[in-house]
Amino acid sequence: MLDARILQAFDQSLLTLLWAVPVLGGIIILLLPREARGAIKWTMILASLAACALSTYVAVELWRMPQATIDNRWLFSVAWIPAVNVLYKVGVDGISGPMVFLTGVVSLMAAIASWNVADQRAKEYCTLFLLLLAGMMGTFVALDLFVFYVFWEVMLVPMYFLIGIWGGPQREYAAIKFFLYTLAGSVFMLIGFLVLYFNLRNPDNTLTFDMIALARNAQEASMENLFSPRLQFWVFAAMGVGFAIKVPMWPFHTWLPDAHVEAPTPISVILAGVLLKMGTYGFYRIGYPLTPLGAEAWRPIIAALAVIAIIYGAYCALAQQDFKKLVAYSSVSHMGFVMLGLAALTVNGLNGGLFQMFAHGCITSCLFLLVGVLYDRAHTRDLYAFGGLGTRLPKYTFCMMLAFFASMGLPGLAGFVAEFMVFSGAMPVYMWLTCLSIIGITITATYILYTLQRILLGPFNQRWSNLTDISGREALTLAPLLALTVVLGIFPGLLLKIQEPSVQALVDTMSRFAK
Amino acid sequence: MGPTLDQMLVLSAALFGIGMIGTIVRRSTIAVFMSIELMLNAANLAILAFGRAHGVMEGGILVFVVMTVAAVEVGVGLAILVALFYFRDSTNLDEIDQLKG
Amino acid sequence: MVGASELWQQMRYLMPEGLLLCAGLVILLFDLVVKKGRSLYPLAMLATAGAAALALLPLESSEPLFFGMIQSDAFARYFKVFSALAGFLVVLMSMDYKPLPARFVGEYLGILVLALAAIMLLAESTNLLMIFLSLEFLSLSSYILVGFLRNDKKSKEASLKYFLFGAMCTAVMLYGFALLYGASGSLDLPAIKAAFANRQNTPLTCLAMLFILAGFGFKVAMVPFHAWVPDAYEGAPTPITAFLSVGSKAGGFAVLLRVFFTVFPGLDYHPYWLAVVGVLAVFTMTVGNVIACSQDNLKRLLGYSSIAQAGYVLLGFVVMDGRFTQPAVMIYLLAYLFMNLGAFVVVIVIANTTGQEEIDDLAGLSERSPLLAWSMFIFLLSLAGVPPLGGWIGKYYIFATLVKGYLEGLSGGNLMLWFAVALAVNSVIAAYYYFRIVKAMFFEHARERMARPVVGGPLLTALYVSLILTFAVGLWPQPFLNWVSRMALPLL
Repeated sequence: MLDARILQAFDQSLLTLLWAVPVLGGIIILLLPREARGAIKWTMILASLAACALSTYVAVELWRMPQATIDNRWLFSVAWIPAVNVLYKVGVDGISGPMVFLTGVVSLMAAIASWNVADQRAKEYCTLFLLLLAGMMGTFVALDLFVFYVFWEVMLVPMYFLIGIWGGPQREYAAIKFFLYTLAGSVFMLIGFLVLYFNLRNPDNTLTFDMIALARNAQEASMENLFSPRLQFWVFAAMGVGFAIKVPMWPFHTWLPDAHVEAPTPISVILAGVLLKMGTYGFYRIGYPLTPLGAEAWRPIIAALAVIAIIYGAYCALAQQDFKKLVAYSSVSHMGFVMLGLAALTVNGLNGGLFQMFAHGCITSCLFLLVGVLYDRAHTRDLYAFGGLGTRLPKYTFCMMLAFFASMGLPGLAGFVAEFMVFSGAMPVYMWLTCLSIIGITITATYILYTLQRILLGPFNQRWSNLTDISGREALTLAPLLALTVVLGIFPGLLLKIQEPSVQALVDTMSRFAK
Repeated sequence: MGPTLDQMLVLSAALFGIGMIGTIVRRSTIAVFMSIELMLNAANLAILAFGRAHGVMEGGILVFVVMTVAAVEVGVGLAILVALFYFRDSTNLDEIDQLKG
Repeated sequence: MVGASELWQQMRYLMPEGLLLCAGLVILLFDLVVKKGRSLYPLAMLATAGAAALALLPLESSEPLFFGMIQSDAFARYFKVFSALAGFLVVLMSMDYKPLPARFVGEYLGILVLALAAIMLLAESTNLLMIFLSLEFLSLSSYILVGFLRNDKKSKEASLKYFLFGAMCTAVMLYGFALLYGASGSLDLPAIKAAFANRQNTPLTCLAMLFILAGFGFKVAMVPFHAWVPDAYEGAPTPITAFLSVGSKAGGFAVLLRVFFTVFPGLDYHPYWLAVVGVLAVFTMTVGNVIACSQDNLKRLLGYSSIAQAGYVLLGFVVMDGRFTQPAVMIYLLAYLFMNLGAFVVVIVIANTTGQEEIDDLAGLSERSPLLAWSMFIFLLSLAGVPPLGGWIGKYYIFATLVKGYLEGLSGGNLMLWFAVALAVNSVIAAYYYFRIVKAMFFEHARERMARPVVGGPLLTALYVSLILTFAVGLWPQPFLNWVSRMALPLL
């Protein structure tokens, strides 16, 4: 009897713990003395480890469920601000589940990779890092628009500091640019949320911020022409700006290269690995189900912008001399695939998009870690400065080849599965656009091969004769991510099984509104 | 019969206008004080005119209050001016430029 | 006719302001006798705390009191609590404010306490005469307080500018009162409403309302009546700057709300009116925010920021929906009270340490005093409207009010959406200059010989109170929202 009750309590608080544990870790750090750097850093790592363990548990349990839908045993809801009908409501399904898992893993790796960065102003760094982790987890599990917005914004602040204090030479500019861009997006997003809130009343005429109820109301209202397509078009646009800036979709991507290049390695990892996914997640979770007709109207535009991003991002990457900037632009290009899959709105497209989110999270994190490894030793990121490292640094070479090939979409690795699914999903819908995006793939292959060649092959530059290979700690951060890339490349079903029911449900709903 | 409502209102508006222009154009603080007094009294005149037209008395009470407050206002204003004059030897607004605005 | 005993009975509704008036006079008297200013601080604190406690007592009357001069309803009670609370914090802030001449502390406290009583009277006035009287009471005390630093040229000059501008706005407002009196035949707000209810309005009323807006707009720092703000804020003693930005602004909003909600619904062209107010609000926040971006003096910057904040609050008026406008304005002001006073506490500590109030003086504050730096950061974040802090709840309400107005197809509905967009854009501009301060505190390093700021007990108390309440309003807004909606004006 008691056991069952404890178990139920655990299930209900599990998703809350995902963000509460990091917050708790942050509070503990605040109580520690400033000088106890070791203890502070260990607290950060342990808190991240705990969050990662919890998120892994969530992912495994989701996988074991016959149908990973939102109304599972973790769904929890309690009134927060009854005066404005705000619920604290959390839940995971096949769409947010993988993202929660990704956040857990990538953040733990980033926490371990922070070991040296965090020496400077340790207390502040570790607290902010954990706050960032809490914000990300909260955003992915929130099922109430208000709560979602709060977490979305909470995440902004630590990111600003993490770039601004521990970043590169242009850090202040990059930090404020990131902050203002994202804030601009989110205030418009808020206007969109409020229109939804006031417009989509429950059947009993009460107002709600609950995403699930709003989705249901939106579909009914759309069927009965109570939620005009014109209004939906603008609401989707308002929210879309917020999401698109985060993704970032072309032409809102200009903050990304600055932020990525200036941020310290672990923060670049989090930015690319998790933060970008929030934008696309917003489309999956809020943009599509809550404004179905708006999404329908915007889909072709999104597809076109996605293809532009794919090609443009790849081209820019090709032109970069800075290793980190190259990886940053490759993110623009790869996130374009997610948006293309989203725009297609087929089971394969959406599945592929989600898969790409996860795969890109793992692969890009690896790439940024690898850039960091090189930069820590050589203090330069100039691609032309290196050469012939392949023979000197075998472990580094192995990791880099694996990560880059995965990024390129080599069969057998996760990137391939994702891109293939996106193409097969988008082809029937937007044939010409999809064909165009193949150009992006070619350019991607070009810059990746060029980069591998410039760094690993060619004559060895004697300047680097004292470079050391990957250390144990660095290997520890890279290994799980690379392992995930390989495993998901060979057994994509592991992830697809979790995603499938939610994606199928989304496609079914949306198909009722297709033209 | 005294002046009509219209006549009194025109006079009051004229006084108010003169006062308004005075506050904006004149550069001497004392002259600005006087212009403000003119505006207040223009309002008083209007209140009395309306009061008579409506045949109600409460406006008259307001006028008394305004006169008193105006006196207090001048007291405070002059005190501030004197305190400033102590530093600057000038009451010309153009020369009071320690602050940017 | 009301008998003397009945008037005596009605006095019980005026206990908070009565206490403050008595305390103010006692302080002034004591100052003559004891000549030891600092010993009067406890008395002022006791008076403000006592007034807050008395105002919290559920003594309300929906009947007009004192021959219809005053209506001591829940709405007025809210502003009494507000004013007493603000006063308490300002007194705490003054205790450690170094430039204040010790000899004149008694006068300073006496006038400050009287000004608080003026705000209370302003919030409960229902007669144009009473409104004029209490507004002038507040203004005159403020003029003196702004010029209180006897040996500071800036302070004197600020006081004179504030005075001239204020006297002019008051004169214009009085002319508006005269016109309103002429159009309605009464000075009593409910009677004016009744007079307008059943007939066409003339351009005269329109002009009257415009003129009246000058007087109230001056108090809340609305464009184009904002010109005094930067100078008065910079020159005034910093606790008084804090008082002006919170206390007298709240008084202005209280009277604005009351006049709006009693007189305006009767006007048959009130939609146009609301559009005018909305456009002025947008101008107010845009002017405030844009100019604030180029300010280097903290007090000036916070001055322009307070102009912008007044613009946000004014946008809440545009919809005129009883269930939203009042809670929006009131909760915003409540959050603003704590976050803005908190920011000024930090400014005082900085000024005490370096003798100046420039942004540069904050350089490397995170290394010199993490507590101050992080507190300032929280206050600025709240001012910028970032969740989950108090300012965000206020801003959320303003946004919600506008979107609701748009969706319900109120007159000028499309305009509301544009107002919301303007508010959104302004939030981003505001974030830019708030984060200039953050940048100085966290990203820059302290110049040599910059002392570690020392925070004394009173300032620390004010800091913690502001900090805790800024968080509380944001994280657990329910009790505050309940309270605010209970205290809203009864809809006529």
